[in-house]
Amino acid sequence: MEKMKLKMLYADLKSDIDVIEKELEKAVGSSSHFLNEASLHLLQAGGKRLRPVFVLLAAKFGQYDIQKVKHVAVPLELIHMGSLVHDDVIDNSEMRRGRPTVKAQFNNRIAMYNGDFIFARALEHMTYIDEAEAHQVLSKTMVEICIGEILQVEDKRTLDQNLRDYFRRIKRKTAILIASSCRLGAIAGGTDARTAWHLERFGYYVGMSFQIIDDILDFTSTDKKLGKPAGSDLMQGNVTLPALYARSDAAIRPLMEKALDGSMTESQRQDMLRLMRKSDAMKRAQHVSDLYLEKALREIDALPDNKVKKSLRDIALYMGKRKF
Amino acid sequence: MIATTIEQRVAQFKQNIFMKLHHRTLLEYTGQPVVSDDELFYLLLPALNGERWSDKQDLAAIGVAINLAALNTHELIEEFDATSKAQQLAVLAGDLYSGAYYATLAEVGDVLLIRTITEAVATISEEKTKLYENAQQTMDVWLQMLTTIESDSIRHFFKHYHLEQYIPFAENGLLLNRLAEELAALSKGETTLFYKALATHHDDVEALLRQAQEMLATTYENVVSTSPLVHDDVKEWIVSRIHELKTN
Repeated sequence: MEKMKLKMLYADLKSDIDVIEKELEKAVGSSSHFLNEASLHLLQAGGKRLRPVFVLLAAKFGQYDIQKVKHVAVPLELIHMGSLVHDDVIDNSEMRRGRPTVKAQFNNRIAMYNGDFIFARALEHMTYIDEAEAHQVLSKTMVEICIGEILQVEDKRTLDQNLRDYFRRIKRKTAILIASSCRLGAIAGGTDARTAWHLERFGYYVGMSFQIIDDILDFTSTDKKLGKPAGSDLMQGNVTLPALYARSDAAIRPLMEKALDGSMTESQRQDMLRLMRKSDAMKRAQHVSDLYLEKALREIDALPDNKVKKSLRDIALYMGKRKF
Repeated sequence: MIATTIEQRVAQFKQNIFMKLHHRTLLEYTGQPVVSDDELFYLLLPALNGERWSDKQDLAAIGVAINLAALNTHELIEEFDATSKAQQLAVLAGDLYSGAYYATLAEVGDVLLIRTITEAVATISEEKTKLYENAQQTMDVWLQMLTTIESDSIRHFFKHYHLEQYIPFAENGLLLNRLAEELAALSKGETTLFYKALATHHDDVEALLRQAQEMLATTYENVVSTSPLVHDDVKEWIVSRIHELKTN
């Protein structure tokens, strides 16, 4: 249902999204059966295709040509896909979006090769874009994402950390890729520098809001909707904003510590989720997400008049209020 | 260029790469980026042999070396248990180096160079995965797969700069190096992925590997010794390395 709503928001872009889907399928085609199987499995698992959508919408502020823009939209989705495959190795995840991960289906090594293959195909696609700035932006983004992930590993299982550490992590882990999607869309469309800047800021704020919602949903959603056990973030050692807000609660903290040290039982997980959902941590985290969302909407106001502004606003609002 | 100078040049180049990829946490948990002297020697072979070598080419070579480090680092990941902090960081180190090689090649400002190197990475990843696919192949096909895995990035780099004449040196030299590594692992009682792939269809894998090593070493030594392309000091370095690999 929620995914249907999102697709409705993309309705105007449908034919172009179809182009992207076909290109994605072509891009991951391989002479290796295992890589083919793994990549197609990933593609079929769906995903919101947020990054390509932001590329397309941003490009519409300039000279829009899907045949050019696709060479930016496809790499961004591929980079996102490739990092998920590698993240599942890091987090030792067996399931993603309700399906076995590549590492679970094959092994860690094949997951590494699959991710490397997908990254390579992403960059190969990008080479059909001549603008040097585009390559500088994307390569910097890739490096920043990894630095964010390294920080996440460093901060793992540490309950006593600053809120600033969390924001620094999600900025690099999520917001930068969405910001770059907007910026690269603007570059591919050839917009003026000011428009590109506002689009990038918009992507950054939406990305921050989106990641906080993701972290809230990890506690409030169901195992079925998440396609993995609720509370997985904490059990994998990742301390997110709701957890940081709830850590001073005397009833929740011991359960969190159990989640972090890997000794949590199923009934304790249920207790933790029940207490977390009742606590004000969720509201506080939602409030922060809303603040980022408001900033994103202000960036839209600063953009030149264009009918695409409504789509950007609708998608941003949807992302800030989504339930899956 | 005498042997010590060759070694110094390779060591200096390696140091530049380490400096470019320096990251405190990664250094602590995963060590320096994994790139062998043999890989760097063959990557720099045209320059060591006195070919015209521009600053841009040097930067591109740094990009390719970082790419080798990215792929090599992911070879450190255990098949079934990568839960330790060092393993998790090795995954990220490889990814970070991938971003860094792209950034370096982007700095060269030649999109066709980026395309050719990324094509090589895709092919290498495919060939590595095929080792798991358990298909029956002739020994020649297995060796061709290893050749691609070991040297395709360098092959594409040479081709891009019209230095094709150096491709056979990189291919043979790095294949010989890989065979030596396979035999060394075997003597330690370790079973590599390549060993497992061969053992599915062949009885005496060690004998097969030895035979392949012997044949390749002899042919390669002959090619090097009689080559009008490479200078004597470079020849000497390669021949001495062939002997070293054979006796190890």
